[in-house]
Amino acid sequence: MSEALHELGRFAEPSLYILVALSEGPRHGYAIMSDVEMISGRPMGAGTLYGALARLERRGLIQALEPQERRRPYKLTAFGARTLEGQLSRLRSFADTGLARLRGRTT
Amino acid sequence: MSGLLRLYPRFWRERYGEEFEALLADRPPTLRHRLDIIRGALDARLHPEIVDPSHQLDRWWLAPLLGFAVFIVALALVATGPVHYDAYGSYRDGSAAALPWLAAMLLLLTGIARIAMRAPEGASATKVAGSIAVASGLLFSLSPWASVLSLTFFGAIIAMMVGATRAHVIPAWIPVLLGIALLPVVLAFATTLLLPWYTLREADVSPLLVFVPLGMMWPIVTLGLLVGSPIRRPGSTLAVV
Repeated sequence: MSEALHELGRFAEPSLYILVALSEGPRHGYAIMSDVEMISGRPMGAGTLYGALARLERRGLIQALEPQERRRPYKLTAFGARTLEGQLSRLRSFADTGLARLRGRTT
Repeated sequence: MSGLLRLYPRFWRERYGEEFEALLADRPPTLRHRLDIIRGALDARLHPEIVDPSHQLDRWWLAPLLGFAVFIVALALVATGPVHYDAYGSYRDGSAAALPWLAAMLLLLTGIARIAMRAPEGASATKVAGSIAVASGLLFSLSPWASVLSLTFFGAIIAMMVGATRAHVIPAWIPVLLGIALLPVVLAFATTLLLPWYTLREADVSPLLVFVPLGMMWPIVTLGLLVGSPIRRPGSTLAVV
């Protein structure tokens, strides 16, 4: 996992889902939660969501936009997009290696 | 405001409170998600610097928490000390608990001093009460049987806590909780001050009546530091909480 995400501890995995949810465009909390649930198959609690959002914002991976009514959208920053791309590439490489080894396994 | 949102520190609510409430209105939390929010609130209190870098890292709540563990050790040493017999009957020698008791009190006083230090500069009465609490607490730890010292100590802690509440350093329920916990102890010490010592002895007051409420001071001071507002560095643009 990239350094920026790795240092997030228990928030590293939720943060990765959030970055993926924001990769299509700005979203507010409820939309992020719904998208993360669709991607991961598991609902994310509001406590985890905002713990991760605060950390991502503090590290400059996402940026808060002007609130629309009471809902504040967040968008991926250029640094966040680079971090996400690097992380997903590493995960793809990891998955490819794992699958290749599984296929070559003698039964 | 949602009860769950109140668990978060004020500076956190100022930043995320509105959107957080909108989210909870859109998607009412299940029991599992309520637990997740409680965990998130604890995280926000333990890591205030994530939301506002002007907050200093504050781990002083560990001092009274450690003091509570040492207090339990002291109680265990008292309860298991050797039994001696003299002309007045039998008694249990708890001298082995003297050092742990002193250590527990020093850790408690550290926590009390830290709460007083969190009060803003204008809250001089709170700081004076905190100083009296620490000074009388030091003397009380050396001679816990001295009723005047103990009553001064308890009174000063309560006064400091009330002042800290008024200065928005700790929530109002902390001094209320402390007052309820200390009431039996204050009554017990006041009784020894007002009545001849043998009255209390013959009444056979259980030590639990004193030690259990007295021991509540450590977790209450820990809570006060944990849920209270951390000290902020000068220059913060957020309102003082």
